[in-house]
Amino acid sequence: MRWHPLVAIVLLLQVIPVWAFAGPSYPKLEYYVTDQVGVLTVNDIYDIEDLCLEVDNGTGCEIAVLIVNTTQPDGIDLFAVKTFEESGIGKEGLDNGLLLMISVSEKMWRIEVGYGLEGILPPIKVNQIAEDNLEPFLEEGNYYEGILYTVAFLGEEILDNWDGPVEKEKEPWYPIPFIPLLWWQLLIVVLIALAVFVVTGGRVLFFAGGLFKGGGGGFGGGRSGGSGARGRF
Amino acid sequence: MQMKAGATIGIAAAVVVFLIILISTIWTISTYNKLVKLEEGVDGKWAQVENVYQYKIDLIPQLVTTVEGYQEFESSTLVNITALRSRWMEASDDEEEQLDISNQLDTALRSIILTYENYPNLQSIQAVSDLMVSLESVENQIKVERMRYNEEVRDLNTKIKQFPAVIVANTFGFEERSYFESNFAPDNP
Repeated sequence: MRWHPLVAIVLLLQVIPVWAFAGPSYPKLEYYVTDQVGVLTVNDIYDIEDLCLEVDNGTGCEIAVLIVNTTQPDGIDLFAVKTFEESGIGKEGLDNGLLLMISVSEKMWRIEVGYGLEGILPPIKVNQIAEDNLEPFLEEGNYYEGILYTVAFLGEEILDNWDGPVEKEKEPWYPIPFIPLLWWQLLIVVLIALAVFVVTGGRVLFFAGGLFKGGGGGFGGGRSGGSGARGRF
Repeated sequence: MQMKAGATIGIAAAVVVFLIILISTIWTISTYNKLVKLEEGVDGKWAQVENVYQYKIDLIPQLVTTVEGYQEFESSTLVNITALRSRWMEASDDEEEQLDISNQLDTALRSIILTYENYPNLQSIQAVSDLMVSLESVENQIKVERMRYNEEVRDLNTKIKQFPAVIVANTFGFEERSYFESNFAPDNP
């Protein structure tokens, strides 16, 4: 029983990371495609991500897709800007990212273009691509094809016209390849594991999961300034 | 012995005074630098606001030539917009004046957008609808840069008012900046 305060502290440490990241109300995107509503199947997502990966490999430009249920109370314009800011889509300093957002219940779309892509994808062009490839499919509830073709056309414009440097994501180096933790993070995990092991006499060893979140992945730190287009479907 | 004790106290006092002066100097310098950095942030964001506003000003001649052929748009509004654009360009050094003109300009542009929204036949004309897409985008860009400018202003103003930074701010004449308000708020379509 004497150990209780220490156990409490160790347990508290497990909770802190979750609590610390609960603040921002805008999603921090980690993958090319994020479907919060569930209108895409896993295979749909793979297909779209293949296109995004091709553009990323060829030009370093990052295309992100986000499907949400609603953007209220902010509205889709502000929501897109803030999500862009939060996720840092595009490479740092080049700002060559693009966010395609769809709000299902509001029946709205928005394409937010990073500073570095404003020249290649001016609002009129973005709007045209979306009117031709996105809206007709979304009207029928066919999210997959709408997004796939829109990303394909946007990606083609980028692949054909990007003349900036092709920067690859700087992946952090992990000592153990299949565990996305840096040296010092690994050390903390081991120390806490040891502490818990000692304190509980080896009974509790199922806690480490929470710490694995937020390792690698994510986008490169690009910014946008509200350029792009939006519409209804 | 007494002399020696007095000297020790004297040296100790001198060291304490020296430390106090040293610490407060370091603190003053670092606070000053922080304020300078915040001010630069505000100026940088203002430049960005001006930058995107310039896009909008540059759009006006194209806007006027494109829509003047359609009777749905009032010609007086178009004349007014052209005049406001020239006035805005002449007032390039006067921020207050530019702000005032930009608000008038926004009101005039609002009426053009309303006209466009109310006449479906206009929406089928490619050149007109392209222009509206550009205008809508530039309005959004202005909104975003204005929001970021205001965020920087808020950071600077908060820092300036806080104790003890307020001492440095007053000594070196750092002043609060004003927020950029606009009466133009494009609704969702």
